[in-house]
Amino acid sequence: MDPQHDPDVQRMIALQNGDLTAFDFLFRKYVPDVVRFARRFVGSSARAEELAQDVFLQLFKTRDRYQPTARFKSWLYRMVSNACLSDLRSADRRYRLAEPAGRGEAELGSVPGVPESALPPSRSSEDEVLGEEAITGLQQAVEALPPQQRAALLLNRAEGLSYEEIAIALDTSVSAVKSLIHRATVTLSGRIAADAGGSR
Amino acid sequence: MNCTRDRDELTAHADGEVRGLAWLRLEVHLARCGSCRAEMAERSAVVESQRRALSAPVEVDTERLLAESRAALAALGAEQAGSAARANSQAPPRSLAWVRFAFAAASLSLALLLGAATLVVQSGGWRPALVALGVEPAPRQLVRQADMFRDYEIIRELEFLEFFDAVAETPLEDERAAAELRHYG
Repeated sequence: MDPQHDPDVQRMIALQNGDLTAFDFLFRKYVPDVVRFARRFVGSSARAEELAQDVFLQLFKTRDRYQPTARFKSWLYRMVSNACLSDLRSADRRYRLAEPAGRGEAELGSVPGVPESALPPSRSSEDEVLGEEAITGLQQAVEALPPQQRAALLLNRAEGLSYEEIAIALDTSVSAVKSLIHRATVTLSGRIAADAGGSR
Repeated sequence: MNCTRDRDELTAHADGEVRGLAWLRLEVHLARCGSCRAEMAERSAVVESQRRALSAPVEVDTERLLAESRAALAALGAEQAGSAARANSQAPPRSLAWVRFAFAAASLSLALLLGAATLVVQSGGWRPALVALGVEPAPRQLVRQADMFRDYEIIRELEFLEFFDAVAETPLEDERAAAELRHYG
């Protein structure tokens, strides 16, 4: 897709030209997805919101340097991925440590229709609590992935970006993305199976 | 398709990322290979379950976050405006800046003029000064060597004569010398 035909690229150009309503529009449209990605990546709702706000502040501050070379979503997730990877590298993990255990579980626990293959075989259909535990296991397994694999997997499975868009966001090749996602998928699947075996 | 090498093709296929001839080759292989077909079914289920679980919406108070972001941007704008105002207040007014510039230019011109005048006076005329300033070319030879050595001989003779005159004109103050002069005179 030609970036010039992306309506959000046009909004970003409008923001460059001083249209502040374009910022509000882009914020409202993308912030829920950005928070979700960051939430899955760093494992903390509070930190995810801060990261999302930081990204949009950065977007506003650097709007003059924006070049429409890719779809707006790919460009935005490049900023988001960088912010999350930087956050992971930084030693400031107080939000995650301070957050009460179980908040993430509640969020993921509301996911309907999770197939058996992603959950422990011991999952009891009549026990909703066990289901939440299983989904929490998935979130924890995602957080245990290496950062690049985690970013690639989440960009595809959570945000629906194509491999090509992920390559732009992570500044790598499509074949590297293919490998990252495959390894992440296999690791995740194996870890969940192992957890299921352990809890049985 | 090589079963042991191209397992990542199955994940990409489950993600809908295999296209064209690669897709056709994979489909043909899956039709023939029961092992890969079973693995493909399992992989598709895993990918689908991950997609459902991870793409589930999370609760976000968008309007609160937007309000906070606007406040942060306003604070940033105020801070930048304050910095600009402080920078302007520390800088001299434009009119005063011009006066300072004119004064500096006049001082420099005066210094150059005085320097040139001093050079003229010390070198004894305009021509050496112009030569020193590079306006006129330097003479090719200030003194010819033969003249220089001739002058040197004249100077030596003059010094000798001056010494002789000095001896001749010196009054005799010694009494014995005066008596001898009278005796022989």
